[in-house]
Amino acid sequence: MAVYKAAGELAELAKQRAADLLEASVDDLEVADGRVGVRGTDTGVSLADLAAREQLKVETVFDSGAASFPFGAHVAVVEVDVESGKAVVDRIVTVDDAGPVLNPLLAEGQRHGGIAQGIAQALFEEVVYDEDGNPLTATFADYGFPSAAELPSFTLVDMETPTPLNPLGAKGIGEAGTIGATPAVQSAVVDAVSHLGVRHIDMPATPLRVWTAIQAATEGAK
Amino acid sequence: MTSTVKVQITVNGQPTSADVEPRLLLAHYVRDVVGIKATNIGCDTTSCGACTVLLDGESVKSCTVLAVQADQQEVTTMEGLSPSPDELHPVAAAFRQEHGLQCGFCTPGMVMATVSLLAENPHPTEREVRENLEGNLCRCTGYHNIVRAVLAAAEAQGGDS
Repeated sequence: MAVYKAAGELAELAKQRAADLLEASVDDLEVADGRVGVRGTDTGVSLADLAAREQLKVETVFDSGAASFPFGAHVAVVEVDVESGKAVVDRIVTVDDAGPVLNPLLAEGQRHGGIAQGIAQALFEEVVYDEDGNPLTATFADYGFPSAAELPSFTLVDMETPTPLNPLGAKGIGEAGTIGATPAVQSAVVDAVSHLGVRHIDMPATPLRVWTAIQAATEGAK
Repeated sequence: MTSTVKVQITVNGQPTSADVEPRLLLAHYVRDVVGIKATNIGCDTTSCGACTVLLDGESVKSCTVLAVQADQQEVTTMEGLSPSPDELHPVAAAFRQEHGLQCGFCTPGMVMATVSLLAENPHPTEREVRENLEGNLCRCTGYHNIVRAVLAAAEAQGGDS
């Protein structure tokens, strides 16, 4: 937002300088293609020439005044093998509303990465220490880092609600996946085995934890 | 005094030769002896796949291959894949087209692993792509666009099976 605001202020400054130079009214000037020109004519001056005469520089501060609220919804379909306790994500459908998006390709990439990390937090990833405080998950061989084989492709649904708090209407997107995917997947795992009496499983829902929860619930029912 | 061994390794079509310590890893040979840096070293323990190169056409993790094991063989790295920046190898082109990367650290390894995969299986299913790239880790993309890129590269390479 600060860059957007500064760019606008810089364009105004360039127009004022060009107005003096071209002996034109600021209202008749437009900034386009690296130059300031008199609207409807060929008369104009390049930004480079203006900057060569005197540095074109503005400093500005943007304060949004309050926090914007990106929002969304994530739905996960998870299959659990009740004999081994292994949970597999079949599908995940996500809606994340970041307001107007300048670069959809990059925004989608942020969502993909976040979803993967969110799924992984629900099912695989945990930093473990022994009783003496020694780390037990210090390499990729010990830490549950997901590979492509553990994840499905993701279904993204777009939604665009601008925030009134800034001129572009933009909100955050970088962490959306990690926020929504984790509870969606975790709740789906519990839901998949709830008919056996399971009501809760600690994250990450590893096969051992799921299997133990199923054993505890079914033994209690006997 | 350290004893050295003479190795002759063809790297990206160019003959290279050096007297190396027997313990020197192929990843370090490529980066430090030959001096080409696309091959990244991520974990140093054969887990992450960032250092994947082709050894006589097959993908290997060069952080756990010794340079002496590659003696008299041919190594291909990301630098040797595309004829020029304007004429990308189909796999590199597909990764670019499908945005199959973000930070780019895993990319050279992913691309080399994909070249090897498609040489063995020119028309993989999505499931096969995911299983075959299991040895290459990526934290940024969630693999979504990487898998898309591999499938697109397979499509672009056509029916050369």
